[in-house]
Amino acid sequence: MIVKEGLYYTKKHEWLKVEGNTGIVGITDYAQEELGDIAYIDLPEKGKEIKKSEEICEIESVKAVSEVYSPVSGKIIDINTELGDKPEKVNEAPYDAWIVKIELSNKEEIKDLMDKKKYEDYLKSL
Amino acid sequence: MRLKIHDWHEENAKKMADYAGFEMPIWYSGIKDEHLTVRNNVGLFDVSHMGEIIVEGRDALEFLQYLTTNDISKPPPISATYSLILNERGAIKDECLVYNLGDKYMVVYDAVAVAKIYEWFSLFSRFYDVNIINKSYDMQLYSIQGPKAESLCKELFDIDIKEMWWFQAKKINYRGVDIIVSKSGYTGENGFELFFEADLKYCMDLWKEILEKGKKYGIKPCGLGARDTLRIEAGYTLYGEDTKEKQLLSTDIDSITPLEAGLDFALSFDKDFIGKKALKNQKLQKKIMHFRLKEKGIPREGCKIFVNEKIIGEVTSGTLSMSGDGIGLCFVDANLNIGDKIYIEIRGKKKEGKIVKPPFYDPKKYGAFREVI
Repeated sequence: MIVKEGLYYTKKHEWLKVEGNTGIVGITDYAQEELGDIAYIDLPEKGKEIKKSEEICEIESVKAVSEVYSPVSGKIIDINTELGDKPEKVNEAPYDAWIVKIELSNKEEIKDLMDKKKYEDYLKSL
Repeated sequence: MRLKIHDWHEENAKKMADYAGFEMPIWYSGIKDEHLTVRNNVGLFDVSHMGEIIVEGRDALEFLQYLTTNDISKPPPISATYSLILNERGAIKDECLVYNLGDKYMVVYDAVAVAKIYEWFSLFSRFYDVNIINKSYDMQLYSIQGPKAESLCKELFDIDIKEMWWFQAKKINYRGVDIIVSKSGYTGENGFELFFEADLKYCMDLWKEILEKGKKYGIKPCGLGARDTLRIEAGYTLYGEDTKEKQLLSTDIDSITPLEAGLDFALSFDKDFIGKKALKNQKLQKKIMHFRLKEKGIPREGCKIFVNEKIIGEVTSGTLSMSGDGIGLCFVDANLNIGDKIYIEIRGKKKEGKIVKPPFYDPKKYGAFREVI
């Protein structure tokens, strides 16, 4: 199970990478392994305002449907359209296959997220 | 409950989950990978959770003729007949295979119905000179499926399944244990299944031996996930999903009957069986049919189906085909025809699809009747 240094994590297994005022969101290696073969991602609209913990989109694997929740609040400024045709990229490289980019509206929210060490401890507790 | 070689599954499966009270392997390498392994090479399934009842005694044949729908008097030992167990209102209590073992019969049926069917059989057994033995928790069932299963069977047991008809079986003694080697399966592919009773060591050794000898054929262990996607792609119904009894006690006809399920081929109206009278009176309003989506999305059980803005039924089981299309079985207006356009509501969005004829794969390229291997 890979947990990457330098990213922030949620209890629902999303990761967040912060670049300036932009937050890049994806799902963790743990999440993709739990889901199994990802078959479909219902990508959101660009420009949508989203609040922290709100649903960004749904990810479907052959066996299950799971929601992706936003680790932060802000405006969705970019979506990874490549995942529309190749959702399996999330299984292959979960930390490269980002889902959305969010323009952060409240950087303070990042403090509530876990770092690598805390997320690893959290995974152990599951 | 746990399968006999549970520890091996626990160690090797990436996902385990409860099914019918058993801790079952859902996938090892991944559903898609295992699915393709079975279509292209060969896969090994531990489906020992399935139910088995032995019926023996003077009236065994008469008993099973009355409790199941198909005529099981014809197939010689050792072979099986696909049959159905109905309630008195005609609904499917379970789908089963009845093996004629010569001196007795073995009914193989779904794990979710293990207790229910045993009770049902016990209830009627008092009127017959029969002995009913529930072997569900002792009998092992390994299923080996795929185009390379034939070569593997030859190598393992020196049995050529090409020479056998579908549902024919052979009883062999392998390393001191009696095994019924049956040409059967639930994937659409050619394959064989092993029924036997043995201790943990034997079960583990045989499992590992099959994997070892199957290596050169590209064998992989496969879980319940791929078992489900494979059977849907082949167009087969599953009891509990597509076929079931709803226990509509106040009506003459319960749902879903074999006529509704399109399983008429398993009905023998020349004999008497439980549920026959109800079927004779049934006016068909809905039927199990197969559909393929044109738009992206995975149809799930319970998704509503529309024609001209009107709900005409729902999805009973769905998945993605090898080619990535949403496919599945549905219970819809019996007047629909192959080729008819339908809309399936998936998470609030209506997606276009049409009624098709199974299987969902190209039978010239895949499945037991493929033209090239």
